[in-house]
Amino acid sequence: MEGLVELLDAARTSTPGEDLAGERAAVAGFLAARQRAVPTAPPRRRNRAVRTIAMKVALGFAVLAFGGTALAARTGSLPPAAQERAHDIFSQAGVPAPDRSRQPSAGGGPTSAVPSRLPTPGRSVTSAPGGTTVLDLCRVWDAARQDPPGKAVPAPTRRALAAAAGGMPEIDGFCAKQLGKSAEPSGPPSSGTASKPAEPPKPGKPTTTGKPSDTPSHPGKGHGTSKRPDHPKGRGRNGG
Amino acid sequence: MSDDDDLLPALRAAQGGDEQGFATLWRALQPAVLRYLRVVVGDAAEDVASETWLQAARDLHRFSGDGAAFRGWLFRIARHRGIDERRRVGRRPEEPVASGGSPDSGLRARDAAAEAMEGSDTRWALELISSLPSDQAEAVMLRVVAGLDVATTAKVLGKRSGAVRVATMRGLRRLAAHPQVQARNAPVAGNAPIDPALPEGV
Repeated sequence: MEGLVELLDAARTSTPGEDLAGERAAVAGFLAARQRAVPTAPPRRRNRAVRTIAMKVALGFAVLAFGGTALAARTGSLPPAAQERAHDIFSQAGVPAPDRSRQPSAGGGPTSAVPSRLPTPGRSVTSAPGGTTVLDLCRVWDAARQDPPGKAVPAPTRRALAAAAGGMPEIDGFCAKQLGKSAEPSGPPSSGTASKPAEPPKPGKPTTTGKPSDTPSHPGKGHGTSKRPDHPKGRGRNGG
Repeated sequence: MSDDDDLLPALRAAQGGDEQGFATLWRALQPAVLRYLRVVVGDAAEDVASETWLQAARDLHRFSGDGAAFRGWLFRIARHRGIDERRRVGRRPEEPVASGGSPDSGLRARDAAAEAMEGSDTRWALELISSLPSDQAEAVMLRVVAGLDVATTAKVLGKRSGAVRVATMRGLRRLAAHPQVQARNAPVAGNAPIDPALPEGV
């Protein structure tokens, strides 16, 4: 029987330092889950099927959310429609909806998170529910990246991030952007986003409305001649 | 199990949101989780273990129980994630998963990178256990390696306690009869030297 004992011992024994590469990723996942957890919800026992479905939906939503979130996150907030849908999906699956009261009401983002440090568990972090998913995954990615690269990142996370970032090699940059953005307290978007609606029309672009006061930087009257040779003089004419 | 009593403070701390508590749980249980999954899903074990811990972190606030219960709860998650993984791989056409019935092919083979992470003895042991029929392999892993009692193992596997006992016993008997295990028996016993080529159907 010594052989069997030896076998079972070998199966049990873990050599030190082995297997432990994913600790940081696991802890990051834990912290992310704590932020999302709703402690006020009564502890309910769900059957396994529901839980499995819920998890799949959550993962699937993570993938779906990325498309919109990648764009929306650049402006610092998710469109309300996405949050609506997230709420719908999650509540259908029996998962308590993300705490909406935690959302910043409008613009007044109070957080002052330090980027190099993960936020402490609790309710100190405010971010849109859908955005939290992206950040969670990025945090997991970021934590695991420093070990064997991407080794400890769960496959669904990796796939979702790759889909969002446009390929495995892009994940680092994508997540760096996401995590960097998350550190900013929902401030104004930097610049250049095309979705900004109130952008003034660029000078030099010929408008067809034919307003004569269009030409800039000349407070007085009169058309500066020969300033723009390609510009038609008769601005009121918009034949075409 | 006293081991699980040691886990209780960490478990309570983790449930209170303490990351150190969670890290302690992870360090204590990840090796066993990983070994169990190695037998169940082969070299996808690391990925599936990560998914297991993510789900555990997410559902921890719903868990109530002591250290031993947590151990069982965690392995139940691991098993379901493992089953999901096998389904997923089974749907992938280029990498067919073997059917679970036959002794040699019921569990997936492991790749060299994964093997490099473990000592050769551990690798050898897990390989032999993986060669068992999957119900026996899982029962042996949960009872012997994960340290679950019969009732908890039965719960994890969704079987009756009697079935778990039988599967465990058959698995151990089969392992003991394996030529490589026989070859490791000490020759001091004065028995006739065992021919490794002997058939194992004893």
